[in-house]
Amino acid sequence: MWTLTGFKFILAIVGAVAGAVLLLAILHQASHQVKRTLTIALTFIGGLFYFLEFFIPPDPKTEEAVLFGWSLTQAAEVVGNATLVIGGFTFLLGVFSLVHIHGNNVRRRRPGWSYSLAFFAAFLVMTVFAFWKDWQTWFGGPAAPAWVNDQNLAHAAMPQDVYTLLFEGLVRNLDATMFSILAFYIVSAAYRAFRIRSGEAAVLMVVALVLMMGQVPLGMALTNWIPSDGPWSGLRIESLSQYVLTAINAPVQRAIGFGLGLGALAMAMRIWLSLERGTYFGQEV
Amino acid sequence: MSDRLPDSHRPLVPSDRTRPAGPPDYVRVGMPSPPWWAVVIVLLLLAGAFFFGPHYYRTADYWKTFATGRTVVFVLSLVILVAILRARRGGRAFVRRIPGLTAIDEAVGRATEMGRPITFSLGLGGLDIITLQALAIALHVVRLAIRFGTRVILTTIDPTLYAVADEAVHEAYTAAGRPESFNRDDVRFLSDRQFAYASAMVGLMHREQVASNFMFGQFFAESLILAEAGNQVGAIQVAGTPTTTQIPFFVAACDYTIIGDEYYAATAYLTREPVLSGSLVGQDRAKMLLLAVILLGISLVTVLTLIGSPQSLQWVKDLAGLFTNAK
Repeated sequence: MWTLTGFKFILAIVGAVAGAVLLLAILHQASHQVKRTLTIALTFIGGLFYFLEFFIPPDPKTEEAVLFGWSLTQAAEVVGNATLVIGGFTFLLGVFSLVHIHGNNVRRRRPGWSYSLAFFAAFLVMTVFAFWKDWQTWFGGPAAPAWVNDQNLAHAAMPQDVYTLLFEGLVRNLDATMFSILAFYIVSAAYRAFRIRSGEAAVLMVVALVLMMGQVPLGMALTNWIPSDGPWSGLRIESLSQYVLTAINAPVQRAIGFGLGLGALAMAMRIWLSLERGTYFGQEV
Repeated sequence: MSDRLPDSHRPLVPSDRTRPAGPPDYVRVGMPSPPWWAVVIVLLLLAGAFFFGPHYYRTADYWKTFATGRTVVFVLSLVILVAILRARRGGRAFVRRIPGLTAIDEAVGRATEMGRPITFSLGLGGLDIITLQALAIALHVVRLAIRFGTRVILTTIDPTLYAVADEAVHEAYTAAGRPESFNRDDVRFLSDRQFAYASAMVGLMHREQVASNFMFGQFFAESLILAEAGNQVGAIQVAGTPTTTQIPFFVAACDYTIIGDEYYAATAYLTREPVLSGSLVGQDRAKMLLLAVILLGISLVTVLTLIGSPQSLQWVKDLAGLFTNAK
């Protein structure tokens, strides 16, 4: 892979940006017919690359798919990085969306606008401390104070700086709080789902009961009197539970998996061959 | 002209006379040419790589393990492609009724009657096949809602997807002749963190008191949080996901759930477009093919077990081994 440094590195970045701007300007001026042809061609070439990377047998020694001396496996890494760069640019669009919506909330004093202020405060504080913490690593200059970037090895497990406090102490705990709500929601949803209102619901309830009992010691104790060997062992609750999981549940899951796999394959082919375009952009592209 | 009327004066169900001028929904403008050229390019490249490529390409032992899996994918792709091409030449395909997809119209109608918005979550996926299918369904809902003047709030967790969704929804409004009705704030990137996204969605549903909630795409632990929040505000909920571990949660908490390959049949069902219907027929044929292979495998293994695997039937074991060792 290329490694550029110093002036060449800066020149490459400026060149790439200028090239991208030029390309966008040309595309903006191009007719719909040209745009459409270009979209079809690029989609096909992009798909063809991954298609060949998948179908061409890899070299047994290097494990790389090679086409006429060109390693597709190595090229896939470059293409993946390019996709990440494009994704990085679109992240700014996401931030713009958030700022626009919350800015409008504050400006127009919409109900709950104070929460939008909380968004701006959190966004600002996290951005400042995240950049300040790693500024020296990325751009050089003076080291950040210990309360911004704690490099004390004694605190390696949990650095005592503001960024760690905000991320590990606040964001992660807020995530865990939302996750824990799930425990209550499972109960309320299960209550509604297991109300016996039809034959299917009754079957669901009985099977769920068998599965739950098969997983807990209390359930297993209920059928402990049945010998674990011999013709009747299949009637023990844990055996019934295993039977439901492996002989009924697993094949059904695999059958659903077959359908989903084929559906995804068909969808991928429609997109690759530009047969799906009207679904998203009926006129413009 | 009804197009120039403010939203409050616009009829909810536009008659043919008041329907905005322009192409009707789902008419494809500029159908792509048949992809036979694409198939030829692919086959030529594969043949060239095989005949002029490195020697190990032609080693039988090597191909035994590699080729079987790839051949299965290739054959299934061809079956689907042939069905698409045949469907484009004409003919109609029967698509059975899928209640979850029929309920989409009902959910949009309910939101229209109640004068409350609709939320549509595209799940946790990025710009991939699953989420693109979700976006296709979302655009159907948006197009329907535009006709009735109902607001749809579309949310994503991925900024790349946000950019595509924003443009696609804007285009849908323009195609319907109502570009002025498009509100950029109704396509939202909420957060790129799973539970931050979930909490933002829950807050949104409660604040907006949504009448209908759609959840299509990839979902994980947040699926039930979203579905229960929708249930709490009394929204009619339609969900669909290929993430099989989350289907039970949606079944328990939503009014309608789309299961398995119904998810990928959605666009064909909703639009009845020839290419999509043909693709559905192709998928069914591919499924039949897979089923036949499975039944054949079961029969062969059963017979071999019963008769004790004589040496003369070694080729049957080798054939079965190809599928077992496929990479």
